[in-house]
Amino acid sequence: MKAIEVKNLSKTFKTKVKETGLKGSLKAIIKPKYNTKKAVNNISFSIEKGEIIAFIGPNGAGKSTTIKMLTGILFPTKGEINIMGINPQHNRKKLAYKIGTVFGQKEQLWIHLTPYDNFKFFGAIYDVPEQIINKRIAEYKEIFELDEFINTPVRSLSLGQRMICEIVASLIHEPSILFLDEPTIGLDPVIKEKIRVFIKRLNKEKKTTIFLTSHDVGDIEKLCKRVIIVNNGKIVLDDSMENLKYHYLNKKIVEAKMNTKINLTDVEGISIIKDKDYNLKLEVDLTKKNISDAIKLLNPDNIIDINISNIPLETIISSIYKGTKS
Amino acid sequence: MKKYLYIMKTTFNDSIQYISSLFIRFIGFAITMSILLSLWTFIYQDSTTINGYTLKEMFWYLLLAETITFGSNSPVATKEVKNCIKSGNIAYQINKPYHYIIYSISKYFADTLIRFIAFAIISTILGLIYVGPIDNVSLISFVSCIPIFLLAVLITGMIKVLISLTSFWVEDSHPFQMIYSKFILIFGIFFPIEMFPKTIGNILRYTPIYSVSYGPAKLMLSFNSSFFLNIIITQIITIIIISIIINIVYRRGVRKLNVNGG
Amino acid sequence: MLTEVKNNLKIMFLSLKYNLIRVMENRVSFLTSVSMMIFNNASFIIQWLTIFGLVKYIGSYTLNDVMLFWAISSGSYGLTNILFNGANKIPEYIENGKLDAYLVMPKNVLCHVITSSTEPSAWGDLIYGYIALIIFNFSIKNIFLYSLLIIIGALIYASFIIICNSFTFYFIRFSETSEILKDIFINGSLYPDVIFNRAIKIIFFTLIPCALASWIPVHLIIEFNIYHFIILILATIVLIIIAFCLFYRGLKNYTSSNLMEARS
Repeated sequence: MKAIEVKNLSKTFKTKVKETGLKGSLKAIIKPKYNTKKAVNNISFSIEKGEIIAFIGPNGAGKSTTIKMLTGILFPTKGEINIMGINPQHNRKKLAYKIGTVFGQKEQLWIHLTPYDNFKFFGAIYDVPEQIINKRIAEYKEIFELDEFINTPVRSLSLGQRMICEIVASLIHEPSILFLDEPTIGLDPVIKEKIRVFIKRLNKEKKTTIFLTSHDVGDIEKLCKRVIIVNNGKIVLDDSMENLKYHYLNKKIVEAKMNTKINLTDVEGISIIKDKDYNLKLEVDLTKKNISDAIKLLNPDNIIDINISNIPLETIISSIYKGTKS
Repeated sequence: MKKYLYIMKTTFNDSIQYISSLFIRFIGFAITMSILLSLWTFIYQDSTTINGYTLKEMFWYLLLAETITFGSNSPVATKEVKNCIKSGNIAYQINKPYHYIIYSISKYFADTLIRFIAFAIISTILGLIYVGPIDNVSLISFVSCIPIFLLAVLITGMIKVLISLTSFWVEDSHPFQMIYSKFILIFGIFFPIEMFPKTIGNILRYTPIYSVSYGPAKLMLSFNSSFFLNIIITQIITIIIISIIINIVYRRGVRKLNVNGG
Repeated sequence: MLTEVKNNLKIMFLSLKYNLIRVMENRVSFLTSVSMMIFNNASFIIQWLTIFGLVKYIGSYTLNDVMLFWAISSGSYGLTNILFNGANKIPEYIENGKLDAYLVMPKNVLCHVITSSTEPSAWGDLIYGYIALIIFNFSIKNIFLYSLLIIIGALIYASFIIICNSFTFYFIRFSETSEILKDIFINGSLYPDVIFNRAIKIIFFTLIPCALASWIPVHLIIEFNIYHFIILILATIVLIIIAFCLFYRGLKNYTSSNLMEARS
């Protein structure tokens, strides 16, 4: 069954253009100029129930706009959205019971209340019966070790603790889809890991569909089986993580430290990325050459240290971004 | 002197950016004034003069006194000074090559000057539309009134800075600012001194109201040279007295800051 | 339907409760702002004492009657800003994209937004309203009637704020105009109706309906009239409906800017 279905979705924003200086300000008052910007441009995709999907793209690509349309915050200019059989724009309240949202850059909690009071408040908002709220709070208390701060006002919590509380608050009504917009932004590695492990567990145990946007490659690599990449409001790639990696994995990076300086030139299938003093960095196209060819080229006796690695996902993704720049 | 002029100039430029906001505030001002005009028209329906003022004079008094108040409504003398003290930033201002108080007052004056000029123009237009020109106003009396009004704006700012300086000791100086502005509004703007019972009127003559609202507004309504001298001397004395008080309060405040380690 | 209303009311009540807890946390600043507001309102008694020193009556009103305008206005104004201060924050929420949080919740957005904030100094207005009523027009009947009328007044004033602020969905700079319109509303309700000419009266009964929030209630306290009372309630309902419609219409234009973008 489909959890999310999007067809030909578009969103256009009108922004005021202001010229610089006093003259510009005056002009803007009298006769404002507008620019129309297509933030989301005719995108379609669908997500199965229980999937964990990464929805990524560079800043301003249209990720947030899309997520906001899916959650009923923004009205689309054109197109159709269907979330668990609900149209977010026509039935916002009904949708709200089925989805949870965490926006890394926008807090939803009351900062002068304790997490405990917040969870109670969110429970009331989603009409969750009292005993069930208590049961769920107890459950999350254990998973996230909330004991030390569940009774401290949110404003005195660290960023990581706050984010954990945001996530718990968004789950108090056990939504079937969880939208996470940059949930790990600005967090330390320990908390990031904690959140990732939890999201994975949530997906596995409760079959919650996860829709994630993040700039953190670690989030994407460790959590998601499928990636949708958007740029300039359009989908440029919609594929499984495996395919994404495989497509680029027929290349390897060979870094070597040499005993004596050798002069190399590019040969077919092996290109030199870096050549500085005794350090060399080669990219090997495995469809044309083997790793052993590269090592032979360097002369094994002359190598002090060698490191052979895959192209990091981060590089893959940024090369996709660059490749689609308009 | 040059640096203060430069401070004034920069702030002046900033203020121009707010022209559209100002325009909206003018409309608000015009409507507030028309409500007060309705009130006075109603009060005057059975009599041509009340305690020596005709309706026209009464309304112009209101407009002129309001112009000074609206025209000195810059946050520089209130919020900025208060925040500077509260945040402890004033400790850094002390080392700068200018005197913080003079800096603040010049900045206030420049920031507020554009407001004042704008409100003066709008008040004049409103007065002309609503009740017609003031009788017996000549070019000479009008020009002579300009320094009096500017001094009134200056004194208002100095008093506000003085009140802000209480932030060295109290949690929030805002309530004092509010009490002061209510005092001016009720006793200095809504009515000329003559409208109050005699004893209250006599007391008010010895308050800043005489320098910052009653004096200038009354002078514009009925100009004569001895009254002009009287007011300008009162204003200068007021400035001297307030400067002395500011100086004492500021020094004590800074000393308190140093004792506490800033 | 009924449970939905009940649940919405529960959330409004909880929001109010939590906000009050926050406000009371800093007792000194709360008490200062409340007493400042009482002082502020009380200082206008001097304005009217002075005016009644110059003339005997304003129309047929005495000082006590004029103070009824003050009691009603300051009471309903205070109540609005205690219960529905979130209405004043609509432009801020729109500009900073803060409506998102309310939009993803399964409750009525407008009800939730307007109860999301409370203004501490408004207690000063409310308390002053009762003080003015007790000093100048005390009777048990008046206190009951007054309490009912300021609730109606608060609903009218809150609807008016929502209507004004709904325009900020289209241009954010409209918030400045909203502030001015609110000022006019307050000023109009503080002054007795007799001083205004016909044109202004028409405006105050329609576009800026301060006459409904203040003049009619004052007349109802001076002399109760069941027909006027019913008309007042019907007008209030109409205003509330208009407020809801305009807000939801505007919401379609909501752009949910990010905090970062709001600065550029």
